[in-house]
Amino acid sequence: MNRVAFRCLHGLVIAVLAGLAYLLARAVLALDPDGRGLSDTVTSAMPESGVLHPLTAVLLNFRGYDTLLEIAVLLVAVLAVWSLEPPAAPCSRVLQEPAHRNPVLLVGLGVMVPMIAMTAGYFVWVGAYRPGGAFQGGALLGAIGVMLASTGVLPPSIRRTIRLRLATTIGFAVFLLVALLTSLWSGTLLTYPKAWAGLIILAIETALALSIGVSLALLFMAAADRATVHREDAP
Amino acid sequence: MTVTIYSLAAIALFVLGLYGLWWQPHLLRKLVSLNIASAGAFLLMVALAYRGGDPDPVPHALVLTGIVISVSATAFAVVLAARRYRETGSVELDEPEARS
Amino acid sequence: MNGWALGPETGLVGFPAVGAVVLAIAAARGRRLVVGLTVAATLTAFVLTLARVLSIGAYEQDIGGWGAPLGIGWRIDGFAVLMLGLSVVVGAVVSIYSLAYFGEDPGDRRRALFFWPLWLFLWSALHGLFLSRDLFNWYVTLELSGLAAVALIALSGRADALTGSLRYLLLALAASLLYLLGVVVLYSATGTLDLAQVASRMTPGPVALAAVLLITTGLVVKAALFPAHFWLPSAHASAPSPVSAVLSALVVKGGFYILARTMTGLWPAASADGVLLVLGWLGGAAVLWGSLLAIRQQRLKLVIAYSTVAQLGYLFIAFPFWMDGVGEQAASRAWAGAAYQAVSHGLAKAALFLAAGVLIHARGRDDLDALRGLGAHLPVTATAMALAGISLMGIPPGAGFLPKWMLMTAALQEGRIIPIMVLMAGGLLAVGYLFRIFRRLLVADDVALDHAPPRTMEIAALVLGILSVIAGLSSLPILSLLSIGAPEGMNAYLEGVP
Repeated sequence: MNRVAFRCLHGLVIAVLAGLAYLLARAVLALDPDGRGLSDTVTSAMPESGVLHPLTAVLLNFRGYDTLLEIAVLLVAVLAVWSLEPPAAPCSRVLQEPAHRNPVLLVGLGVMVPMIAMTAGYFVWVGAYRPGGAFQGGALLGAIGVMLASTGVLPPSIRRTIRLRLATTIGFAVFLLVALLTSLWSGTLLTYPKAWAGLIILAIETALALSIGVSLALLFMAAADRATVHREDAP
Repeated sequence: MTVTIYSLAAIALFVLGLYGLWWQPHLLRKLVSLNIASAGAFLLMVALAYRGGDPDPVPHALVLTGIVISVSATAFAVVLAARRYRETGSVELDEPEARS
Repeated sequence: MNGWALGPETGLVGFPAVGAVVLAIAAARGRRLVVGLTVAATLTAFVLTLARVLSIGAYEQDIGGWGAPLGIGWRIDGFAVLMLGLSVVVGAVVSIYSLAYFGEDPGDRRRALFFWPLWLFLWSALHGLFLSRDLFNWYVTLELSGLAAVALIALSGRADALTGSLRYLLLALAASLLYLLGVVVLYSATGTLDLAQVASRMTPGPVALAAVLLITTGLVVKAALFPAHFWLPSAHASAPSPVSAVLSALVVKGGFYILARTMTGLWPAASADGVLLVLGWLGGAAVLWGSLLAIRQQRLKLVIAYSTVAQLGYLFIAFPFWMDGVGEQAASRAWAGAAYQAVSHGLAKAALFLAAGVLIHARGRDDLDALRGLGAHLPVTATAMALAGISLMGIPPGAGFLPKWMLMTAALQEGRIIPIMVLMAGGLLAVGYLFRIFRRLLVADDVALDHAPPRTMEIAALVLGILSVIAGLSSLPILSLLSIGAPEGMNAYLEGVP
């Protein structure tokens, strides 16, 4: 492309984006400054949701179906990343000095990992009545995976055993199972029996936190070019 | 007032992100730009939820969903770009098969 | 609930997802059984959904039992069932084809491990998209189907596939963000995400304008309308053939579907008129530009992919007829024509890509000249291509004839001459690019096949070819299904038909 044409294109793109910003700003400024959205609707439906925190109620009950599909997105990303690994496992990579031979690091990990795991569990539990829940807990679990990988405690390539695949999918699987069972019960997906709603949500959140943690760690490892080793006949 | 400042900043982030996505040739920079644009969209959602006093939980839940989607898509895109780099030696979209 | 305790449409989303989970965990041994069960269960769920709609009319489902605006809702009407039918039929045939397509060499076996869960997730997401009436839920289904589609394109691992899929991924993500921002603006103005509720609370103004532009632009990229089509040919042509079939037949229709839903049921009267007109012009340009480029391609799958760009254009030629002040009959004929075109193109294009997969398998390469003389060796596949071609060219009794005829009569009623000229030129150009394939298939060269393609693949392609003619012969049932719960002012198209 010659320079003049490129300059014109550049100008055009900037003009379009500026127009977009202007339109958006005008729309945002035209909104009712006291618009409350669905706050009041959510508040009045809270007693039936089985939990006390509105965010958790929206995520796992009122709009739980969105969350179900979103976990599918995470699972699809893990599968997609696995599918991109080159057919031959890269064995030639130079192994760095494993950090876990460093005693200070080892002791530090020994203290931090259990504490982070405990905090993750607490986040999942507390989600019912305070900010917290499966995503926050899962993110912490994922952080454990990142720590173990970057300190060399986890080997540079890990095996995609059936256990690893189960841990990755269990969140979606449990959620889907609940969705289908409740649809047998009531005719629509995810209509929880009211008395059980709190317990069902906690069960889903626990499974979700595990899968989210494992998935995030796996995505990190794939992006950091650490291989997983696969069996011939299983994903 | 606070809401307006945050909203306008969010719109600026969004537009800047889109500009970077178009302008930056390097794939990683494109991805960073895309994430800046997502951050703008999410910030706008949170800012607008704050109108009328106590925040509306629904946009917060939507943002959480959006973040998980954005993380998944970004991780996949990074790995895809890395794999493409291994196959073609190229980190830019418009000079494909540079060394293959 | 009118004697129906279970919601059969739940299975359309649920069964493929269950299959995907099982195949994401399990080893390859039980795969045929799992795929077979998933396909059978999904077909059953569709038949029951169809029966339900035919007996009680359009109906709605509140997921979680909350109801809009708090919860997410589904709306099952004629349009939704028609698109679900397309997706279920094409998906079932593609699944059976793929069992044979991914053969026994180690690369194929590895790809198959990931193809199955990713494809079944894509199938489930598409059904979720066609069922939904919630603006944010559409964002999630778009992302799920888009991400799975990108992963499926990249499956071959070839450099062109990686480039095509990466470009598609970046554009699709940017497009989703535009769509999302439009939805955010709408939610902030109306306090709901339900399509019908947003529509009833919308007023013309800066909010509506920004939302129309953002949502439409985002979806236009997803639906690959000219000039946002440039990602499509490389992505669709470099994917494995069953994936190409699914992408061209179904995935791009997702964007079109949401766009058609919003354009006929979301915006206040006349506030989207300018956008509708632009979409119409772009549709016309897509028909001409896509066809011309299809004529210039040297690789079989690129010809078919550019044909998709052209055929998608027809869908958008219908849009200007939904402007304020267009007669009700013309508007509804254009609406029914567009929906019908989505189905007829889906069947014909899936048949073409599946047949192309057979031909490429037979010769091991995909330039047009490799096709010379293959017709004599693979008559079943050649027949499948011919039947699909009849539909794409718009010759009766192919399913592609009626939608173009309906669009033409709408244009005649409104005294518009340009759409008619584009429709006729598009038909001629389709003959032009399709005969570049047929001419080579039917020459009497004596060539030897490199590999004999599996019989299942040939028959799967033929089934879709036959279906694309049957869909043309059964136009009246399809049109009357479409009128069940049609948007306001969109079911006058059957008036005057005996």
